Amino acid sequence: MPAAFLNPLMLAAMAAVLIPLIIELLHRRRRRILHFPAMRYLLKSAQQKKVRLQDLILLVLRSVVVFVLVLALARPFLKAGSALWSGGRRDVVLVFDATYSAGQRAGATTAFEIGKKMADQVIRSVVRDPRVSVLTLGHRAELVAERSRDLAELRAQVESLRVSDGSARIGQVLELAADFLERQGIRAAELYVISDLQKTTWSKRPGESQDPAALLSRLAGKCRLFVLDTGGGERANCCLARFDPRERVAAVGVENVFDVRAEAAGTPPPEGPLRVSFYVDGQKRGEKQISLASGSAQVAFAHTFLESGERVLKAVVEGDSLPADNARYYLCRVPAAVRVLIFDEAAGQPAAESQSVHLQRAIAPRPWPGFDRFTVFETQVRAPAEAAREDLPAYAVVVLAGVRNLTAPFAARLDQYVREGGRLLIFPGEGLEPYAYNSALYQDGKGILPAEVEAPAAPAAPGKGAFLSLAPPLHPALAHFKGRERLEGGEVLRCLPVKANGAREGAARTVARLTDGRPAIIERRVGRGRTMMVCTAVDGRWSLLPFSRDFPVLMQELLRYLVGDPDGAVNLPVGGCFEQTVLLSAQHLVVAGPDGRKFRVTPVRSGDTQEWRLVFDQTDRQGLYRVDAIPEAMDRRQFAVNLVPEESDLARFDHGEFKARFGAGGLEILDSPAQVRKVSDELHSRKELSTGLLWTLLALLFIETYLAKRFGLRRV
Amino acid sequence: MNVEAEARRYFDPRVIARLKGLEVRARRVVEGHMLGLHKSPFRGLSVEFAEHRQYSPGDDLRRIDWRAYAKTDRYYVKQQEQETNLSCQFVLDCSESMSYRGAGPMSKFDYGAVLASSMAYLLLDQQDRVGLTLFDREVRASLPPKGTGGHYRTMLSAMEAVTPGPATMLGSALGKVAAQLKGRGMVAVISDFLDETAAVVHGLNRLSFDGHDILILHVADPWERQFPFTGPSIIHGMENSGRLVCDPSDLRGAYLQARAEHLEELRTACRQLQFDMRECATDEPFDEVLSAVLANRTRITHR
Repeated sequence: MPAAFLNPLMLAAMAAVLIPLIIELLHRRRRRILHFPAMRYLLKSAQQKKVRLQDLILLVLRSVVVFVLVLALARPFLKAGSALWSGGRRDVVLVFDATYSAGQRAGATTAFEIGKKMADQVIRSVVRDPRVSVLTLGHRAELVAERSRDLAELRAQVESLRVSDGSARIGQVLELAADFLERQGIRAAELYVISDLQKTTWSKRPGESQDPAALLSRLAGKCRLFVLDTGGGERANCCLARFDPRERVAAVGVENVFDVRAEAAGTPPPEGPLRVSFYVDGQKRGEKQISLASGSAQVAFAHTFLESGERVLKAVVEGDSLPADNARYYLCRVPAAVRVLIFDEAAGQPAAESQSVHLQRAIAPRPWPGFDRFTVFETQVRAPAEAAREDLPAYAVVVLAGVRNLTAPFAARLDQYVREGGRLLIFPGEGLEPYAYNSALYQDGKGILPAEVEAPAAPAAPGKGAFLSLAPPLHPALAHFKGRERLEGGEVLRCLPVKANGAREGAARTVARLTDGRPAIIERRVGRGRTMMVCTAVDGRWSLLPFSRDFPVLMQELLRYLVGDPDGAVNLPVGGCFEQTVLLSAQHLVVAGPDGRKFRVTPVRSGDTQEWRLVFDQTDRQGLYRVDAIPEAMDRRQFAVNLVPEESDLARFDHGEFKARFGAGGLEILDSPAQVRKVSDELHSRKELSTGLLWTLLALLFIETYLAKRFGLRRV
Repeated sequence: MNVEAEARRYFDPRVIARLKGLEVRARRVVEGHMLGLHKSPFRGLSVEFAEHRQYSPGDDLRRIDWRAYAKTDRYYVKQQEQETNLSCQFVLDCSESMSYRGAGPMSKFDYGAVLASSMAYLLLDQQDRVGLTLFDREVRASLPPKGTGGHYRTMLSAMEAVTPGPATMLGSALGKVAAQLKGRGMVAVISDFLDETAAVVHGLNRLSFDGHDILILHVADPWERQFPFTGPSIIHGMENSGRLVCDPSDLRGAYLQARAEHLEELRTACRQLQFDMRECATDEPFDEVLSAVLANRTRITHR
């Protein structure tokens, strides 16, 4: 049936059409009867007919007024498909808040699933000539479907949406929606924001320009706004805010400690002790209990890797209504040892001749029998002439210990090694040729040497030298020595002067100075690598530093600093970008996400180095991502993504608060699929006629009043 | 003439008492074979002394016979100049519309009947003759003019006995009256004149053509004059003149205008025909109405 009524029972009142007639008849009975002789003055025959006609017109008009009123109250509507339908094109925009708080449990399902059901109701109700667009907000705002007319496909698309692990703010997607509407020239649309009304999502980050309230007001000018409340709002939630190793450099056989920090969001905090579990490659390796009564708690798990390789570590706190933030991952590469290659011209010669004997012992002290390794580092000592046989990239750090001259090929290899991500540590020594170093490695600031070196002055007398200063501000490499003034027992008698100014690529940074102010350790980033130069020898001839009990610690700390965070590139936040050099070819690669999704990615050429790199930023899910590639193509083929715990506070707006804050432009809040269906049906598949009827009624009343006055007869 | 002893409906002694001394004078010269107040058309004829008549207040002092006074110490009028008596025919409308009583103390017919009877009494008192014609759609009753007390009573009885007729057809009734009248006299038409003006004027013309002195007394009820009705009403027209469902207040303006136009037509016609016309309402005192009418006629005839 093309038309029907929303209030069909009202049609029973159609009998009221007889009311004017009944009133007329009753009035006739109640009218005063006058017998009057001078009727001739009251009417001529034509006027009498005119009066009767006027009576009839008013009676009919009054009956029509009642008819139209009853009809309007019965709320007739036209259904889509009716010959009289002129519903017109409908633009419907669905905006999904898919931040990870939408994954919170709401009854037997999750808030996001409820939101999808609501969206499905809206799509089902859009019958004729629809244009439906879908935007989502995860770690960023995205346009998923643009004015789609294929509703079946759209429903499938919506069904396939998953809540992300992102925590972007709603302003991003509202701005995207507003720009989209402007770009498409859409002037009248319906916009449905499907959200759990979490306060964090609906707030504005400091520095962000997207104000949700202002954007909603802007949208209200173009759209009819609906906010579909998916529910939720557990009062308390527990999340893991941090999971990482204390030492970034790991190796087999060396104990590493992993810190886990849990925080409670909302009030009151979860009651009772909670269990935190520690997993390595899926195997549970530890469990501890924490209490979040104070709002947060930190525990540490120690673990010694027994085999080298890439390890997936995971920390989990026992569940609550939002499981997404109850786990964190850490991916670490565990080598058998962190290899350090020392170039010593006296390699193979007796220790007394060696420039690096102290250094070797400091970097990789031999454990006592029956004890575990002390350090993650292991050293290899080679003469510079053997450099051609060594695969420099296989070493985490290359050390030049008192190398006097550098051949051009050797210098070129070192240059390439550093620029491609290697770490170079340089110690001067007796007979060092400043000119050779400057021309081979400094190259007027274009090379890898942190600074131009000069000939060393004569050594100071013992007792007249300087010490390594540890005064603040302390460089991160020396953070271990915080609180001390200088390195005791390591008097420096002779130091290589350096000129730090003039470097063209990056600026040399002073890591430490001597107590007399001269630079003692300088560093510089070059390409993807780093170079550090200690301005005194470590063979014991220029300084007593090798004999200081802090010397091994100093060397370990400098090396750790140089090595940096080898796993930093493979442990990313949601929304972070994974980049890796592709070694073999530019053929596309497949990245598999933790939820089973696969992405086809084509490497891009890096602008400065002209090498191919895989760049992947669709990291909206927490978990482990894998690149389908052979080891020869890429060094690291796995990376872990962790969510940013901003959405863990599940506090949300109630409807009154929400409307007061964001409803200035006018919006309606619906909070159940049934309600959404009802409203959508009214908007899309039906066109109500009662508005037009009420206007008609008003016009009829105006006409009746005018005619009654004109005819000179009173209204019934 | 003494009718005080008999209580009659249309005879009000109080009215008569207030009209005492007034004369009904004809505007026109009238014929009559008895002595009356009215100028005779028969000039130059010798008249014989007929009798003395006792003086009545209002008689012309020149006609007093002083000799008789000297002798008798009473005033007598010497009827030396022949006086012609007047025949006055009262044409009274007894249609249904005349039976209407609104705000007035009596119906229009009753009012007209009292006017007619009062005037008739005066006429009889001055030795004139009176007659009566009752009409509606047609002549219902016709009493030729006579000058006796018994005839007066007959007139009263006729007026009392008549029942309202269905409709007014004044024009044709006046024509019939004209045919019945012998000799020129006075005709007093008492009606509400709710008829077509043309027909009325035609009838009056007929009377005028015959030389009669016409007196028009238009009787209306105060409600007919004011039309003060308000509120939802069903107005039934008398004499089957129609029915109207309305609020009379909405039609008042049109009614008064239509009535005024009709009366103006009537007045214009009367002016042209040199008829006396007096409009009176049933709430006006009879003596005032008749006094005004008679005084006006006296003034006119003394010019």
